[in-house]
Order: sequence, then C-alpha cells, then structure tokens
Amino acid sequence: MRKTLTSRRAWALATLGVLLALGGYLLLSNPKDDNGARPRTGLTISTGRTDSFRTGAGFSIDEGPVAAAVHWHGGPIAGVVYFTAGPDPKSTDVYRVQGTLANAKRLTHSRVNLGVSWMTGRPGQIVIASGRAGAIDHIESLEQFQRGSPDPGLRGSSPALDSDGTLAYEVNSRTHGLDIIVKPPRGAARRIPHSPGGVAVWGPGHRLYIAGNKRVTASKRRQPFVVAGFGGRNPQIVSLPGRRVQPIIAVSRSGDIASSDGDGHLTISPAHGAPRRLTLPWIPMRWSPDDRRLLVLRAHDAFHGGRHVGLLNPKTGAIREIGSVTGGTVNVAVWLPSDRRRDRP
Amino acid sequence: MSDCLGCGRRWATAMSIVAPVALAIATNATAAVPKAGPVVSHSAGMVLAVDPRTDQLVSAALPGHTVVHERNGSMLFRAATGPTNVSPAAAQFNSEDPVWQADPGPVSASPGSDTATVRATRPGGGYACVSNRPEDPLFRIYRPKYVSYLNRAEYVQFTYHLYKRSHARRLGGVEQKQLEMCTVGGAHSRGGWRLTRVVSSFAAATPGRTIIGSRGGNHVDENGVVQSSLNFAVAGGPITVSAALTPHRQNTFSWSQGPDKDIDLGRRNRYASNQVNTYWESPDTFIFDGSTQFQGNVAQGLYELPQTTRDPIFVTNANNSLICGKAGSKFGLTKCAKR
Repeated sequence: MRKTLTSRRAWALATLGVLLALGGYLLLSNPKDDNGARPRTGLTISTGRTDSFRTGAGFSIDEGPVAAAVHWHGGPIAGVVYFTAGPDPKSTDVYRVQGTLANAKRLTHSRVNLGVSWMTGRPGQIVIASGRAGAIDHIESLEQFQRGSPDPGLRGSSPALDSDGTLAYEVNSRTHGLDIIVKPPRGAARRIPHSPGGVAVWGPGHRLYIAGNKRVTASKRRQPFVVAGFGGRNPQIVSLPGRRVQPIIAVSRSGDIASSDGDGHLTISPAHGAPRRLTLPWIPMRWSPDDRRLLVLRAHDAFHGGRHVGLLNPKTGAIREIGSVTGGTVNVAVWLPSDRRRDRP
Repeated sequence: MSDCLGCGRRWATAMSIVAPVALAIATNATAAVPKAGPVVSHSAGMVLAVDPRTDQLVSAALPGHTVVHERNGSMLFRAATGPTNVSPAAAQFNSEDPVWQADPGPVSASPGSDTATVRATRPGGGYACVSNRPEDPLFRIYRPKYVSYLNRAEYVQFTYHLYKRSHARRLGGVEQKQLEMCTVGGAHSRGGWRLTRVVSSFAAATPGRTIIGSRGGNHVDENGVVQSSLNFAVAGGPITVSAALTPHRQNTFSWSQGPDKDIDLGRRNRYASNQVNTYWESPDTFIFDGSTQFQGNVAQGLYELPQTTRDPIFVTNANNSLICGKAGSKFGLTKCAKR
C-alpha cells in the first residue's frame, strides 16, 4: 500500500513538473500570440497611425495625426485676415487674425498631409480646398470642413469666390490641361476650357483674372501674361515684364495686378499705366480692402511659403513687416474689411 | 473530519518539497528543448521606374544577399547571390537555382477597360492589389511587377503595383500628382526549414520626403484575410486601392514606415523617410518556432510630387528568414535541405 502511494506521488510530481515546464515554455517562447493579444516579439517601428486608420474601403476623414500649430508674432492689422499656415506646405490650417497677428486664432485642425491647400472668401463666407477626402482636392465651406462633414464637397482645386457669391474653381479637362467651372449662386454652372494654368482670381466687374506663361512662337522663351475677363466676352491680355509669372496673383478692386516671377521681382501692373517692376524677395498675397496696401509674404513661392508677412506701399515700393510665424510657414491669405462670420466654439 | 485536521500542514510541507523539484524539472525540460540553430536570411529587390517615353513601368533586378547569423546577432556568413537573372515567368517553377526574378504578373483586365477591377494574382490564386476605379482617365494603373524565388528551402513571391493619379491637387499654386505603391505577398518554407520572418519594403527614391500616407495589414480578420486599403478621392467617390492576402493565422502581422531592421533601401537607409515595410514574424528560439505555413502581409504607400517633375524611381526589397526545424547537427543547418 505504502509503495503504491509513493508511486502515485511520484507520478503526480512528474505530471506537475511537465505542466510547469510547458507553462515555462509558453511564457518564454510565446509561440502563438493571437494576432497581438499578447505582447509582440521583435522590432516594430510604429508611426502611431495604425489605430487611427480605418481598415476597409470607403471614404474616411479621420486618418493620421493632427498637424502641429504655428505660433504667430506681430502687431495690428486692419480688418479681418484669414491665413493658411502650417508646419509644412501639405499640412496647413486656417488662422483668423482680427486685431493683432499675435492673437491669431486657429480655426481648423487638419490631418498631417491633408491640410487646406487653398482659400478664398467674402465677408461672412470662407471657402477652402483641402485634401481631407483622400489627399485629392475637394472644395467646401470652412464650416463644413470644421464639422468634418461626411460629404467631401466638390471635386476641384483653387476656388475663387466673387463678391456676389459666384464660385470659380478649376477641374481637370476632359482632354488635356485644366478647365474652370463658374458656378453662380443661382443658375447653371458653366465650364470654361483651357485655363492658362494660373490660379483664378475675381477682379472688378465680376471678371476672372488668370496668369499664364505663353511660349513665344519659334523660341524657347516664354511670355508671361494675365488674362483679364477669362471666359468673358472681351478678354484682355496684359503682358507682364520678365521671363515668367508665378501662378498666384492679387487683383485689386480697381484692377491693379500684383504678380511675382519667382526670381525676386514683384510687379505692380496698374489698370491704367505702365507696370512697375520691383526687386523684392516678397510675393503678393492680397490687396487691402481699401486697395492702398498689398499684403506680401517673404518667400520664393506660395508652395513653400514664408515666415514673414508685410505690407507693401505700391506707390513707394516700401515694405513694412507686420509679423511672422514660427514652427511653420504662411501660404495663403484672404483680407476682408469686416467679418459677419461667427466662429465655432 | 478528523482525517483532514493535518491536511493544510501536510500540503504546505509537500509543496515545500515539490516546488523546488518542479522548478528544477521545468528548468531542465525547457533546457532540454532543442534550441534553433543560426538564422538564414535571403533578400533581393528591384528598381522600378516609369519610362517617360512609353509611360510603362519598367524594372531592373538588384543583386540579392544571403546572410547567416546567430540569434545573438553575430554574423557567420554573408554572400551576394550573384548577378540577378531576369527570366520569363514560366521558368520560375521549373528552376531549382536561386534566381530572383522580376516579371510582370498576370493581369486580368487592361487599364482603362470597363472591367470593374484590375488585379494581379499569384499563380494558383490567393492575393491581389485591386483598384475599384480603373475607368478614371487621370488614374493610371501600371502593369504590376513581381519578385519571386523558389528553391528547396523556400518559395517567396511579392508583387508590387504602382498607381498614379495626375493633377490630384494644387498646393500653393503648384499642381501635384500622387503615386501609390502597393505590395502584397509572402513566403513558404520547404525542406524542413521554418519561416521566422518575411518582410517586403519599398520606397520612392527621392531626395526629400514625398510620402504622405501609408497603411498595411496588422491582423487576420474573421475570414482569414489580412488586408488594407488607401484612398484616392475623386469626383463620384473615392478610388480605393485595396490589398488582401490569406496567410496562416499565426504570430505577428504588422507594418511600419521608416527603416526596417533587416532591409536597407539605398545606402545607409538613404530613402528611409519614404520607406514602407510590411512583415510577418515569429520567435526563432527553438527548433519548433517559426512556421511551415504560407505567411505574408500587405502594405500601401501614397506619395505626392509636383505634376511637372518626373515620376520617381521606386526601390523594393523582399527578405525572409529561416531556421532549420530539425535537431542534430552542431551547426544546426545541415539536417535541412540545401538551398
């Protein structure tokens, strides 16, 4: 009897030992981790995006981390100015300045690389283009963007909002190049083919202004120009000095055109009179509501943006720096005399 | 009742004896499990570029490497696998030679056709990168390229799919185009070998950072599929490029953006800022670690460049690690089939 008991105890001990050994092995080697239920082995370089990305097809707006904010410095400016600024050209957000630049308020929180690519507006209404709907530009109101609406808006780029609410924006041509769609507040939209390539801006008399570079016949040289009244009955070609013109121009209410050539020259082409070419490393952004000053950005081009914002006196050519940003660059501006628009809390 | 008066004390006494013994047995049992020998890794890759004259995707294979290293990281052996042979697709299944191949995979519908999807599949079926919008005139689907490798130790195949969307958006007045690379595939060990890691990486060889998004598979869903998708959004709804694979449900599926521990794209991770990696991996401590099943993963990367610039060159690399699943020899490799 005693011998049998001893034998049973030995078997029990051996069984217990085997079980403990098996448990030890499972703890040490972790052979099956049930797809991440247990701590993973090996190296995993995480971008931090894995959890925020949705898996599966469909429209999604919550991908990636939010872009970092830029910090504003500077003094007072009249009226209300909306800027787009961000840590890099693809991750820009809308900021609103009313009073001093140092008190700029961030209005949007876009995802990294899916920021606001262009902005336009009139008192009480701001329209933006952004890549939030999958990295390809869509146009929508600022409020729609802030809400994170599941409706991505219109497919298109570089919107321009006229004072009467007419929206112009560019789309890919059915054949080659770019077309402009003009969409009045009421009535049917119309398509204007063969955009010269610049960004459309509304000028006086509800006329569209677009810059372009035309190849001179039998020459490699290009001739910069601006079409005033693009798509209208009597379009007017304004030749610009220099070798080329950047796609972004500013047009005042009186029809004065401010442009840059990307080589450190800023040109003011008045509606009546000869153009003035200034050697300045600044690019035009927007005319003031009273047309007396030009908001300029110290930059090579609007894509890379710049840190310093200034005001140009077009009569003297003098520039007064009014502020700057750190932690990123400024890209686009909309300057309004007042703002009936109310911020979301 | 009286029989159990001393039970607690007897149990404590017994456990004071049993616990050290059991621990000793457990330790001995763990130590008795044969440890795996050195880890053998194979890698090879391709350079992919869009020919501006024909707008077709062309490829050139890069030399591969075989590296044998101990599990503590010390390298025992490293050799280039020689000049890479680019040969017809049909030859790969008849060859026992270690030949990396870079060939277009079978395409079931031509770009721009009315067929709903364009896909490339592994011979025998199983995995694909699929686009749901081939009819968009500005959305270009290039003929996929694949790297495959077959010998007595392993079978590896990864496909690389390139998509381009011209005039995607305009940033600061500059028009941008977007390119998406999708990779899907995996490996299967043979001849007594066990797979412990399989990874596929790609990067756009641009001097600056051009990647704007990435995604990969990180779990096997209830249908046994590991998948990911990334969107290009256009009028009428998004273009979604989806990738799916059906591996064996085991161990870790994951992906990353940046350098990988086994793969160096370009010298000293030169293109690491644009690099996307997708991998499956398991422990490699004991001879029964690893997998003898088909394992792999999927990943996608979205890149953006100014419309007027040339399309970037893409660099790809596939790497798999094996341990011998048979105990016996001192070196730990000789019991398994030679490659």
